[in-house]
Amino acid sequence: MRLEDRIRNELHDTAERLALDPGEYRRAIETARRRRQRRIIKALSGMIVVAGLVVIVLALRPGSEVVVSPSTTTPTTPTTPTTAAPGPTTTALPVVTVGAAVVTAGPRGISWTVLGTDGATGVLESDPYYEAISWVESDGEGGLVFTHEVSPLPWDQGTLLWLPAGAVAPQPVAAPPPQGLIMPIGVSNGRVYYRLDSQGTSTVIGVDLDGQNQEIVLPATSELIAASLSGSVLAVVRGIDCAEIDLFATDGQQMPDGFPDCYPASINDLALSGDSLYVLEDGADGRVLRHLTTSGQDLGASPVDGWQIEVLDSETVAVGGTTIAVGAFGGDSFVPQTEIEGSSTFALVPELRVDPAASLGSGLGEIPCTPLDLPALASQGLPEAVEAKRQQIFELASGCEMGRLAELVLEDNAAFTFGGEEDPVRTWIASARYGFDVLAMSTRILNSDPAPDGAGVYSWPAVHATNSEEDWQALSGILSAAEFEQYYQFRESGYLGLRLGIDPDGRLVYLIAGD
Amino acid sequence: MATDTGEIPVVRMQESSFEAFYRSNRQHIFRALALTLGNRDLAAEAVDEAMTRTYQHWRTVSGFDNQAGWTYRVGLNWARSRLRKRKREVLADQVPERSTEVSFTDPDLDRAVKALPLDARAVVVLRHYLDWSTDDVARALGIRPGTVKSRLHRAMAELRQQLGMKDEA
Repeated sequence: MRLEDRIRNELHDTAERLALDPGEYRRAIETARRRRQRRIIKALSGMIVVAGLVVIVLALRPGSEVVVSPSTTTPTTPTTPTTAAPGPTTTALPVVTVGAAVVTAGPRGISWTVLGTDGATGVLESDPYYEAISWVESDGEGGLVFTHEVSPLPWDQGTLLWLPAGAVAPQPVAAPPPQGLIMPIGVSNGRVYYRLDSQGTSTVIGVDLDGQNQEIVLPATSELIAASLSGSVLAVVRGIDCAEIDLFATDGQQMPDGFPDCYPASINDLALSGDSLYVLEDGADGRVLRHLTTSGQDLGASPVDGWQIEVLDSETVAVGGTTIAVGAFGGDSFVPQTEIEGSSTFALVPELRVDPAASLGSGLGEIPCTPLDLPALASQGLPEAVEAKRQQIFELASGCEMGRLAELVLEDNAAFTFGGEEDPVRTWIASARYGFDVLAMSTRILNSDPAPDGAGVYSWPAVHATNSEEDWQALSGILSAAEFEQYYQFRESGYLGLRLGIDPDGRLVYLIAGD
Repeated sequence: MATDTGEIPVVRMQESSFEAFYRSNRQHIFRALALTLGNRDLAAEAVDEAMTRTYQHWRTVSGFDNQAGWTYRVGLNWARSRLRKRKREVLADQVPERSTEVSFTDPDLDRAVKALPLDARAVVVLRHYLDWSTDDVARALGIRPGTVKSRLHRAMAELRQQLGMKDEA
């Protein structure tokens, strides 16, 4: 049996055994509505949720609450932490109500959402073309330390970056080795601490923000579950069968603690804040957030539905500081994401002083598009409107006027992608990263002869409309030998490279590649 | 909640089309995610999260050629993030708990497929379980068709090697 058939059979047989409880579509709708309502209400009321030495549970799922452990709970020893403390208290988080701002660094760029004293909001956006941020934290000096979900060129995937105060472009701090993964832990005293996962082990490393003086804080181990930094203290939990919580100074020296050698519950995550340690553990009745002290006192637990915890220092926010939030996948960047979901993270930025024009990643300036000094196009004797549009597109493309060309594409409602992307620039940037420069190629095909396609649209190159051998051979003067060969081998399906179509009225109908 | 605001028809139309999508795709997407992730519980959570986000963006998503592909991608990204954040689950991903592990009946194939990187598994599942075209897989995963082909080629070569099979090409 062919391997493909063997796999197909196995996949289908296995899938048949996978039954999912009947879903109720209204649940998804209601959840979506609740999330939206919560965002709107919070945005309009001008409230920023901050934490006063509390733990915010990220990625809350529907119906869950943000919960803090009451500090007044009678301390107990963590002998039975798998059971939530009776009657957990849900406490409203402290808020800043006036004159504050939320900076969201989400999939659509850095956004400043200014919340006025009257609850009105204003939005500033910049650089909408950078990649989504997966983690960000203040450097304590007005700048940011962050990583991308997908690191844009020229950085390797997973590179840890630093955007210093006043800078417009970030610089690399550390990059993972091949097959390695960097997971940032925190920033303290001009150093960023991260976990490097490589070859089945995890190592905790500290490195100066300028990328110099890298030191191992915790040697490689195969059992590191989570780590958290507060000041110059690092809390880690290690061990799969028997989870052990330890405290280390950032120089690697182990510190005394009051935790049991073998923690009596599975730990998903922990967060350290001064003398408080918050532990997200799986209990018999579900997930709970437990508040401990570093001396081992149990200050109580509350049931939660999240899977990641972070601690925010409330002091700066209380005096009108700035909070930076990284939007969730597909989130709305212009709404303060006081409810953080999914792959989000956020950090306090006491004094954000990065340049408003700062790019966190793949701004247009990084796109390898160099204006081309090309001779003017010779007339092809086409209808005036068609010639005019051809000239206009040629000039925009040869001048790297990506934004203006995108406006033209959108104005003419031209097809530019077969995917769901709504922004031509994003599409072209993505193509450029893969070495396919749509703008440069446009200038080349507009120098070739067109042919009307079946709908009367003038198509460049002609082979797209005719698929004739003669027109295929004419392509060899436009494409490189490798490009030509790539397309020519699929000639039975027609020419699927970049083509451009203008209708007799001068409307750009398509500027697209692929099928 | 809307009464006579004029929003009802729009809202109902949106709900109605989403309901049809939900009913006809949830199970398929769940299975595809479970086969990709090798974890039944994570896939169940991922598909519910992805469906919620699909509804949040339904006005846009409903215009896509491959709506299920978008939802699958959202679910996979969500699960990937969750795996990344939950370090313990990263470890558990290599040795999943038996109760939630998704296993093939053929142990050799099971071992070989699970040894593939997640991205490669996704391509294999979408091509050979959902029978999507290369372009549909590319759109669903947000990668180029050429990347789909090369990932699939490498995945199959890896599986052949793992299974001690000769290259059929």
